[in-house]
Amino acid sequence: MSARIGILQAPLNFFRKKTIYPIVLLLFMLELLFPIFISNYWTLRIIMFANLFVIYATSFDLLAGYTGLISFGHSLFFGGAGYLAGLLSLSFGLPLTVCIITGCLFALIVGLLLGYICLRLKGPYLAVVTLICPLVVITILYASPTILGGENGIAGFAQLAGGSLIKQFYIVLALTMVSLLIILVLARGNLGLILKTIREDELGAEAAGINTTKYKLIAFIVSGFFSGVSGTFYAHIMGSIGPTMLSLQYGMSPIFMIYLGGASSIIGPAIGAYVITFLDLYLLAFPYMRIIIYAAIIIIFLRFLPGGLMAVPSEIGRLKRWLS
Amino acid sequence: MAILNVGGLVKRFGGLTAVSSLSFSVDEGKILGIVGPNGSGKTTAFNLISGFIKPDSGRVVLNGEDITNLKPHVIVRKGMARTFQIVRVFRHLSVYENIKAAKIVNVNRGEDRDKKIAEVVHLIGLNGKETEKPINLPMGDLKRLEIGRALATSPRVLLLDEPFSGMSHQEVIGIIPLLLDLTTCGMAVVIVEHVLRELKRLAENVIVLNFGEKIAEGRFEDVMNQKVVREAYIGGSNSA
Repeated sequence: MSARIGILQAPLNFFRKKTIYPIVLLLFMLELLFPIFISNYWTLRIIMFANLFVIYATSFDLLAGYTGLISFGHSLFFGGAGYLAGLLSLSFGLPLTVCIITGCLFALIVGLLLGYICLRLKGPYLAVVTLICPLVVITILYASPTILGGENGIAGFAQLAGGSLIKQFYIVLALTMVSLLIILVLARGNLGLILKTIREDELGAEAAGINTTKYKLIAFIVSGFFSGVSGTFYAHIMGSIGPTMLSLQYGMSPIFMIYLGGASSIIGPAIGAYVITFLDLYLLAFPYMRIIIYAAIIIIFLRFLPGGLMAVPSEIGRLKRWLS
Repeated sequence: MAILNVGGLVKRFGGLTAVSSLSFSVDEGKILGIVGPNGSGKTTAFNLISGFIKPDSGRVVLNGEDITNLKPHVIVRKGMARTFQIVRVFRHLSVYENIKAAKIVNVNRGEDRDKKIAEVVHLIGLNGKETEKPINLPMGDLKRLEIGRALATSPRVLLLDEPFSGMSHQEVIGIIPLLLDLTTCGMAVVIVEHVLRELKRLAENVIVLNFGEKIAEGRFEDVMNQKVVREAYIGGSNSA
């Protein structure tokens, strides 16, 4: 019996140890071959967007999963950075690299400001404030049709790699690999442990000598920066951007991704990002059903599998033990 | 030599004076007990000293340095750690991670962090339970873990808020040698406790609080025999 449990526990232990880094690298190496074997333009494009959402979801996991600061307005970083990068490209004709770097730094600064505003907020109060921020920006966008494009957004700015899908695919792949490895190292290192203590008990963390203010700000900054990275690249692949990128839809997406995959694990949200991106594709035909289906999935997962897909091996193990 | 000096601490919550002109000092390597009936201001005093609440007036001096109004994590780095009446360990992190989290931010120059963590785990008697999560541990072990987390910060003064509450008699007996051991290396310990029988074995001196005021101070036996202290505990002529 114990041997059977051991076999079931093995995948979990495997993921917990440092072997995760070569596995991640290997998966990205496999993805290098995708453009050779996948000829369908849209499939490659969806995989590329899934990779961008991996950055978005895993950066959100640092804030929500690790630190316990559930933000409903993470689209502020994603869309805000994308908007700024697009505007700089369209209005000032700045080089794409400058636009992308500026967009990412903007997200970092917004992370610092939002983090400062939200320092003393928790739970529903934090959720409301973070929910309102992107809505305020959307209102400003709607009110500025000449400068910010209004409800139609802005279009026609420089595309990444001149619009070449294959080049875009490889650039995004490299970007995702580097970002994911950085986030993994941060989350599995001392920073991740300290962020978890804040989630577990903020007063306890202070009593342990942890400067909770500083580390909450770090969580907002790092999370905001990487969300900005995904947002600017998303905008420069599309070549256009609209207020939708700041909407609740994009604010909720990382929440769905981390709880589906398994919060506070980084790899779980990365898996969740892939599942949600592909699910989105199939649900395009049912726009009104989409949110209902997502809500149902999240309720089912939170109720019956709070550890998300990452907890499946241990849950199977528990079920086997119970049955025996 | 006094390592902790508390002078004239006052804290009011609206019309209620929770702590009124509290003054005391603790010497290196000594254990001081703070006793008093429920609501006498013992935990508020701890919160004021450890920076979790700002005092209205008064001073807290640690090792000659004024630490009044400093933030809790800064006070920890200055050399004073605390535990809570209701344990505040990180329940979903392992025993090892609980200790490590405190050590990461309080590592001294040239110190071997992993060795120090192993030492703390050994000292609190949780060897073999490093990978256990606190949610699976009994109260005695949780109290030990919280003390261990405080010790990982290498404190010179340790504040323990009701370390025996919720523990069985066996667990209390088991933790006393650990607390006595701490003083042998010069650490000063301040204990807020209701279990007077066990406190008597630890603290040479005690102070007694009632309605936020210090009503007695001195050797344990002497203080407990004072009329004013007995009245505070069991109700005297002033109590209705």
